[in-house]
Amino acid sequence: MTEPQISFVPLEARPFQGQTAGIVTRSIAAAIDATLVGACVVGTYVGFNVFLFLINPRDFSWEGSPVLLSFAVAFSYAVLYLTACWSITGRSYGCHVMGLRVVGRRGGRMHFLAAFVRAVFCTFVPIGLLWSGASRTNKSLQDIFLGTRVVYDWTSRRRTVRPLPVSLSAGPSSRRDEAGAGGPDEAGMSL
Amino acid sequence: MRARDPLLGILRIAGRAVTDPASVVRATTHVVTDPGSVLRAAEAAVGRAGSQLLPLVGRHVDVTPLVEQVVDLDGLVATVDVDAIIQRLDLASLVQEVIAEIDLPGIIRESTGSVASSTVQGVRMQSITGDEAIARAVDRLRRRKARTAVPEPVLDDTP
Repeated sequence: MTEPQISFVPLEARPFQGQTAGIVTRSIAAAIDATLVGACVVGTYVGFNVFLFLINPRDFSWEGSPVLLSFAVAFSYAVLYLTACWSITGRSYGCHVMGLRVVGRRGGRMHFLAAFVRAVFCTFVPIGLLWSGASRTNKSLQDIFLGTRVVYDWTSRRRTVRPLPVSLSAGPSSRRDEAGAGGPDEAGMSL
Repeated sequence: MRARDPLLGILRIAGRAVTDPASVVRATTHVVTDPGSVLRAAEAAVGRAGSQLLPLVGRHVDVTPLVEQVVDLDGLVATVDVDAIIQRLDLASLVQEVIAEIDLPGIIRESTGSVASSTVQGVRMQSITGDEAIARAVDRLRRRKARTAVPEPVLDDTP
């Protein structure tokens, strides 16, 4: 029984598979995740008020939410959501949309604890993402401290991803080639 | 044994003719009344000889090029009723085996799941292009710094 050798990744995107993602893609993914968390917070707020209305419709008045509480709920949701996504599938919804995957030190799925620490770090220090734009290895502050990487992975299955031998003129930049010496890019990556 | 030693067979028949002359008469009568039996016996003998001879020939002679030279294979194949052969095949089970072997559900899941939408693909490619552009811009910025006399510090991103 052999694995099908069919790749559904478009030809132009194949050279990037397994490479560390840059700041633009990661920012869009983070924005999608933030929007999702924000929607969940709003949903919770609306749901809470609907619950109050159902309990006591006569004296119902729209309850405001303290800013601090809203932020606490939002951060809690973000940490829980990112921890669960990164430790289970290695990708949040934003990463799924943008074709990214977060991998651990050895290129595989992150441990739950590592995912939790990274989620806390990303939630409370979101500006650390900006360092991926300046870093030669496209690593954010969170990646540098935790040894994680965010890679392009357009496939839906978790498996070994290697940059396919397709020679295109618009290949990955030299920055990553420099960074890949001895790194997981060279040895292939077990996703 | 008869085919291998015809002399012994002839001697046996001659001995039977001497000891039982009536058998010769019966055989002669049989030939006269049923001439086809001689033909059938001859065919059986040739068949037996052929079945023993052909493997011997095949062992020493490469028949394939001979057949290719003599027989018009294309013409022969053109006469084959392929539809009849296909009708005899159990295509449904064959297809099921192929689907099971190549994991077609997985392929469909893969193709419709992660990278299905062309819009999503376009956004992803655009973002990768943006990543590359920023990487190039930062690289250029660093080269400018390097051209100044100040040596550029080597960035070590590893923890």
